[in-house]
Amino acid sequence: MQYSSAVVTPRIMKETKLLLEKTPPGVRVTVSEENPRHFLFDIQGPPGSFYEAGIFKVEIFLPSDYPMSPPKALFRTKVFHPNIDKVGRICLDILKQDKWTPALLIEKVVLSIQWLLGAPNLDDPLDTSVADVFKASPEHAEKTAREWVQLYAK
Amino acid sequence: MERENSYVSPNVDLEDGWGDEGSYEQSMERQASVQSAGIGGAGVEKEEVDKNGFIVQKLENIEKTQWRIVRETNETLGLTDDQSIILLRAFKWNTEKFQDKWLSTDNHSKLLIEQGLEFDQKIAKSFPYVNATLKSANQGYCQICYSQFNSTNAKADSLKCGHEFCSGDWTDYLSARVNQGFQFCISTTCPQHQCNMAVPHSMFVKYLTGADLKTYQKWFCKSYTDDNKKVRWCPFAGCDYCVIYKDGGIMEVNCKCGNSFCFKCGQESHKPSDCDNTKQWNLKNSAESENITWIMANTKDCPKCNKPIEKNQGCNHMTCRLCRHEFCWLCTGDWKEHGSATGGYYQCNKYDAAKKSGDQTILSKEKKIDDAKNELKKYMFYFERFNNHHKAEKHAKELLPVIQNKILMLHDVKNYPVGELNFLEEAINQVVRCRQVLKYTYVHGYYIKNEMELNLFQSMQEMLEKFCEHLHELIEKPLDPYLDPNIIERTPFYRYRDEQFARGR
Ligand SMILES: [Zn+2]
Ligand SMILES: [Zn+2]
Ligand SMILES: [Zn+2]
Ligand SMILES: [Zn+2]
Ligand SMILES: [Zn+2]
Ligand SMILES: [Zn+2]
Repeated sequence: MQYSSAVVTPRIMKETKLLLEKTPPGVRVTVSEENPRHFLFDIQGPPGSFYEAGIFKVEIFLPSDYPMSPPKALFRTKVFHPNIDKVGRICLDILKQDKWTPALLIEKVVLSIQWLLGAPNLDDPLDTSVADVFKASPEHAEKTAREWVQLYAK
Repeated sequence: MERENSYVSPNVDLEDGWGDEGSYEQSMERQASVQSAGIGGAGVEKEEVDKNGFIVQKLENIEKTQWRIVRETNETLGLTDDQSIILLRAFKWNTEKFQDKWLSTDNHSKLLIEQGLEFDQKIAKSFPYVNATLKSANQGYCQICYSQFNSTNAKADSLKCGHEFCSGDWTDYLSARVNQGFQFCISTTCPQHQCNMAVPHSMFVKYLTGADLKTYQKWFCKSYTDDNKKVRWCPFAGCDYCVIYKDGGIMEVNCKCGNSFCFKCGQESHKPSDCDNTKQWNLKNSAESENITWIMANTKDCPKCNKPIEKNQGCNHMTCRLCRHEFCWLCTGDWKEHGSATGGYYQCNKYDAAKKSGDQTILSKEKKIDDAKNELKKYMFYFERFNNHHKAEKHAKELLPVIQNKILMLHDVKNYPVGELNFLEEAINQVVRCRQVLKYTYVHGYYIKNEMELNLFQSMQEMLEKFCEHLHELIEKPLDPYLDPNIIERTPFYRYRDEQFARGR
């Protein structure tokens, strides 16, 4: 089966329905009116993390061969995090082609992104300058991260 | 025998796909006939082991060998195709190592779980959602396309783990993996996240058709050749031969495409230089070739009239077109001084010796080298000689069809028996071979640190240079005078031949 990008498959319909009806805690979802493959999420920073007070906007787009290819995800809120870069790209294993499987769901992606906020991975940094701050001085990293939350994620 | 049918999918497209290459269905039949004829029986292809212990074969023959190994393993250990393929791959197709491991352990299930042939219950416990795709746990919906399983168009299928997806999704999934490339294809697991089950050969064959199935077959074969220390692809462009290493100590392969390469490292033949030095040298060359080194190595001024001359022949004996001055290409010294009267054709191969011995005649000849104190000069010295042999080798290869044509003419016009003419072709092959070796003597020499060793090496190099240079000059002599139908006298030709024999033996 080949899906064109305009077509909404039964799977996407079902996923959208589930997301709207049983939205996971700490998450708000909006489906784009022009494109049903385009989602906007408000993700709450995990409690106890540097980001707990913030609400982060994350855009998710389903490519034409979804679910054979992973969804594309992008932070729309600036965040000081070693696995998220300046333009909002995210380094997360299940978003990569070799770790993604078609049995995963958008919901799982969103929850993994939320989890990533609370568990920065310094072994696989996307922004090395941020990772260096996290390694050299966790206090300084926490301070900057919390400042950015106040500045951008409110 | 039941296995035989189980992996031939009813989906296999007979018109498209393997059919046009005449291989897939046929290879299935061949495999069946191998099976029925018994291993080592009439169904097995002949293997020609060359004098170096290599078997040079086309891709489809490699696949046959691959299947034979799978079948042998099946019979010895009572495994299925799918199990043998994945397990052998895990053991880099080292049958003995795998069989030893299998026969020496009672805990087969550990090995099978590790290789994704049995479901790992531990994963199911630590990742509860791994069970979510089981039909019972999923309210009858396919987790990939969200069709209901009991509807007619969604036939569910799963690996041993029980994670069910409909057949259309399996096709889409496996097609995507195959087209993402070799690494993706061979590491394909059950679509369920975190499930450890590997997708075996039979699933690919069952769900893929046409071009996808063809691509899969390519990866399937590559998994054998890449993993296998005893198999290598010929590195020369456009050649689709594979080489199997049988036995013997020589690591040099003469491929049926006419080129030869090193089995150990996959680079062009590089005797007497070793694999590491050769790799280092080639890296260096690709980094330096852009600059002036290249120009310097390809044109030179005539030492007498100073007009630039481009080298377009194989041998180093140059005659300037303008002033007819004869000189040596390498050291630009007078050719007369290179004769046997001066104790050897070549003094121009000695780089360090010239500097250290303070020999004035050599020093004056090696003007450019004389003041060479730095690394770049040394490198250029060696590169120039390396490149010189490289080009001479090419020239000699280009001469082969010309000579073959001349042989036919000498036979037709002058009635020389073919047996008396073969020496011409042999001489060219000798020269090509010498040039290949000489080329890499300069790589070897470049990396020699010990002065004694270098001196000894250079004197041997000199001998070979002398022999090769003379033979190359002889084969480049025009044969046309011997083709004049009005001259019946054959003595000059036989004299020419004897001279080559004297040099060639
Ligand atoms: Zn399905
Ligand atoms: Zn599974
Ligand atoms: Zn070849
Ligand atoms: Zn080698
Ligand atoms: Zn001249
Ligand atoms: Zn010379």
